[in-house]
Formats: sequence, C-alpha cells, structure tokens
Amino acid sequence: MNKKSVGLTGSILGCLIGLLMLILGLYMEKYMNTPDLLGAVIGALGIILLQLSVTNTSEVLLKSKYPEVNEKKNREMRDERNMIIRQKAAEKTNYAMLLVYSFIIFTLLIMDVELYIMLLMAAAMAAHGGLSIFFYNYYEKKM
Amino acid sequence: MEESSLKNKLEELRKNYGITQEELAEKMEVSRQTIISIEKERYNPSLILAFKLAAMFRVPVEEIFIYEEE
Repeated sequence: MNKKSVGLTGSILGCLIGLLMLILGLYMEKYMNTPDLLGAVIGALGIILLQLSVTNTSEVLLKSKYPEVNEKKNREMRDERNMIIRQKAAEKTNYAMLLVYSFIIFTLLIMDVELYIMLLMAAAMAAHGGLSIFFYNYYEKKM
Repeated sequence: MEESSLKNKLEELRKNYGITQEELAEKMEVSRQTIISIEKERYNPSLILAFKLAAMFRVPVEEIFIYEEE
C-alpha cells in the first residue's frame, strides 16, 4: 500500500466512524435514557471527526489530481521565511498563553471555584512552563 | 521583518538574468514572497539561500549581499 492509499483509507475510515458516532449520539439523545449530554458529546465528537476526515479526504484527492498545487503548497511549508514567521508567531503565542493562564487562574480564584479546578489550571500552566524549558534546553544542545 | 544593514542587488541581478520572481523562487525552492521580501530588504536570507543565489547567478555572495556597518 502506498502513502496515498493509506491516507485515503484512513480518511474514509474516519468519515465512517464519525458518521456512526453522529448517528449513535442522535439515537442516544432521542431514544435512550443515557446520562445528561452523553449523546450530545458523542454526536459532537462524531461531527468533528467527520469534518476532519472529509477535509483530509478532499486534500488527498486534490493532491493526486493537481500535483503542481501540492508542490507549491509543500514549497510554502518548507520556505525559510514562512518557518521563521511561524516560529515568531509561536513565541508570541507562548507568552500570550502564559498571561491567559494567569488571568484564568486569577478569575477562578475570585469566583471561589473548587480546588481541583484551580489545581488543574495550575498544572496546565506548570506543564506549559516545563515544556518551554525542556524544548529550550533541547534546542540549545542541538544547535 | 527586522530592519537590516544588509543591502542587496538581487532585483538587479534577477532582471539582468531575465527571470521573474516566481521562476527564481521555484529554482531556489522558496516562496515568491520570500524573494520579494529579500529584494525589498525586509528579510535577510539564510546563509544557505544566499549561497544558492550566488551559485545560480555565478557571482560571489558579497556581490549580491553587501554588509553595511551601522
């Protein structure tokens, strides 16, 4: 099986699973006594999976039909200027997310929410910081 | 992109060579926007790209890119 066939098979499988999840979610919401929102959650996940799979399927088919478009897209992805732009954008996002986390934790603190939610947010913030340090050290050794 | 003190003669060389920005971008395996940005001196290319450009126009790198001290 070549790369295209694997990608196409995976996408079609994703479409089918997404569709099944959507039908199951709708069925559960309408006819079964399941816990609150369980059917809706399964249905929503099904829609997301279906949408991603349909996008992927069309991308795989377009790539094979228009190789020059695919080549141009690959060039854009590998382009050094675009890579620097992506890195700069990611760096700014990283700083912005630390501020967002701090703001959310502060808001939760004022709202007097349960401790485990606070701890979850704090853990997410710590993981963010930890990953930043880890990748910094990784690239410092590599370069 | 950042301000630079690196001037270049890429546009002049490219026009002398008789190729478009798109064609040069294709040969260098970069986007057309990168070529535009280099020509407008808004972006400093990597050393690899600078050497590839020099090799293509068959001139030394310092003939395309001129470093000016502030």
